[in-house]
Amino acid sequence: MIIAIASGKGGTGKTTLSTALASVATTPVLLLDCDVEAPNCNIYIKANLAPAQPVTVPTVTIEPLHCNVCRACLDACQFNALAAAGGKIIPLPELCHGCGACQLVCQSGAIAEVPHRIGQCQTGSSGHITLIEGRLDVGSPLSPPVIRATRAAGNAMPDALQIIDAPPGTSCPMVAATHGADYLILVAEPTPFGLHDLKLAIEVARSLKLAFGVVINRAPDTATPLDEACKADSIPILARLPESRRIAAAGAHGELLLKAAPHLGDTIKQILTTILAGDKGAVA
Amino acid sequence: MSRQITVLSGKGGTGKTSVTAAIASLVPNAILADCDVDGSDLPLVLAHHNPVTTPFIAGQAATLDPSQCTRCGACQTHCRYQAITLDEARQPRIDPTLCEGCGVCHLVCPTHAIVLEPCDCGEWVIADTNTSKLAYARLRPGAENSGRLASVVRQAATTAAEERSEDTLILIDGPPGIGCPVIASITGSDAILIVAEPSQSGWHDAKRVIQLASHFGIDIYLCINRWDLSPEMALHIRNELPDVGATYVGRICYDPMVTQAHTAGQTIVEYGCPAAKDITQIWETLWNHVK
Repeated sequence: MIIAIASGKGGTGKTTLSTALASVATTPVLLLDCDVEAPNCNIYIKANLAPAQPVTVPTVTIEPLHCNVCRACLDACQFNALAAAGGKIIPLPELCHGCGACQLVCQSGAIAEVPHRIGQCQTGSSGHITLIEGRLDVGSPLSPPVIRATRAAGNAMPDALQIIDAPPGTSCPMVAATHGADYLILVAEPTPFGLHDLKLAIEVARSLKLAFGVVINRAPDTATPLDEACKADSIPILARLPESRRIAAAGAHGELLLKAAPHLGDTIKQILTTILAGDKGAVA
Repeated sequence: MSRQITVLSGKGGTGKTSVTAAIASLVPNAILADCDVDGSDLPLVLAHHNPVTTPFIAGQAATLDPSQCTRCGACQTHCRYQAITLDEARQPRIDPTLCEGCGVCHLVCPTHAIVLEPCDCGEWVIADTNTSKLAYARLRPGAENSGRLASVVRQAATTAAEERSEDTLILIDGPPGIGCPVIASITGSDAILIVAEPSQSGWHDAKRVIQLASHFGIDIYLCINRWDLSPEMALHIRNELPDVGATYVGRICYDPMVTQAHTAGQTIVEYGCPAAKDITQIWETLWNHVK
């Protein structure tokens, strides 16, 4: 089973929950850190990571001896990753999506593809948790290819329970991280920004047809507008995790949630049990 | 001379929007731009009116006309994004959430059964605030091109600033992370203000965005939000700043009244909560460096 944890708004507690769920799993578990622009899972898991595997995308080189500057490649490229200047065609690797269109249309055989590094993937384990961390190189603009490589590494172990720590937001990186998951947990904070961004995340969950539920983090004792909004839309609230300065301080120092707050153990286990039993998800 | 400052963090949820909105209250004629286009929260606390909305059509998506399809499967073979699958009858199905809009399927289709159609990715807005202007966007959930839309928002703010005769501050609420929307939001900026969280993850992520800004040669300033949740980490960050080339400009206390301010649709400064004093001090220090 693949469980993805996303949020919409940043800083709601995705990594806190992902690592907590991994820590209570009773079977071997694969934790995928797909927040590749800012991967934090290993601050909590503290696995020894094996040497990194580079993640590359194919970008192009133009062989000037063969190129007759017909510009067919420029016309085919949907991403403005080829420019014409000084009587030559110049590739712009940062914009290239590695789709292969230019090579397909080139009649002169002038285009070759070369791997261009954009990030890396590393694996390590700590107890029953195997962590696969994707990390985008600083300066590389596009995170989805690194996220897809991290997901592919996870799919090489299809029998394990997979927990995916997704990036914040509701655009292509979040979609790449959560696509095809069996269940999506949306971690929400009960603030005006938190409620606004949760609604966007719910739209994505529905468009991806994912079964999903909400965990409300830093929740006060009383019901909030966010609680009411979930109830009004028949969205299951899997758990409410309390606001606590002590837990925040412990998390700041890289402590797993249940080390700082062992009394939440049953709550976290119940989230996993509910999802694995398959009986609580909003109809997408 | 006009100045452009982008507020960033690396890690999400450190308080970028809260701080940006508060500074907006301190600089009434600043033009605001919310470049966090797939979770745009600045408009929730900056009262605005007279919105001018423009659709954001960017990129393309492949669509299939089954009546022209010969089920040769070439599209599926050549798609590098697993966006095309063949059903039992070898009829292609295109998953719009995976389609990159590259057009390769259109190029290889022998009967032109696949065409590319422009994507409606959302909309952007320029509006009047009580004292100035606000540019923001709503990226359609799940859409691509957030970097391009962030650029459009930034450019809308720049254009509004150019239309004025006096010097203007452009203040940009940036997205989390280090990817294309962040890069789009710092293009043209004179300085970035990092709102950092006093935690290991917060510092790890702040350092990545500091590295990114250094590539661009932009001056980097940093404040620590909710510093008293971990005074040790706050001190650790302060001590390491000179090594990473960032200048410390202050710290903000943990303030539970911030949520009340935002629930009332007000900025921290308007509401007058304890954090307002800290942010005012940070702004004065920052502006002294940047002006």
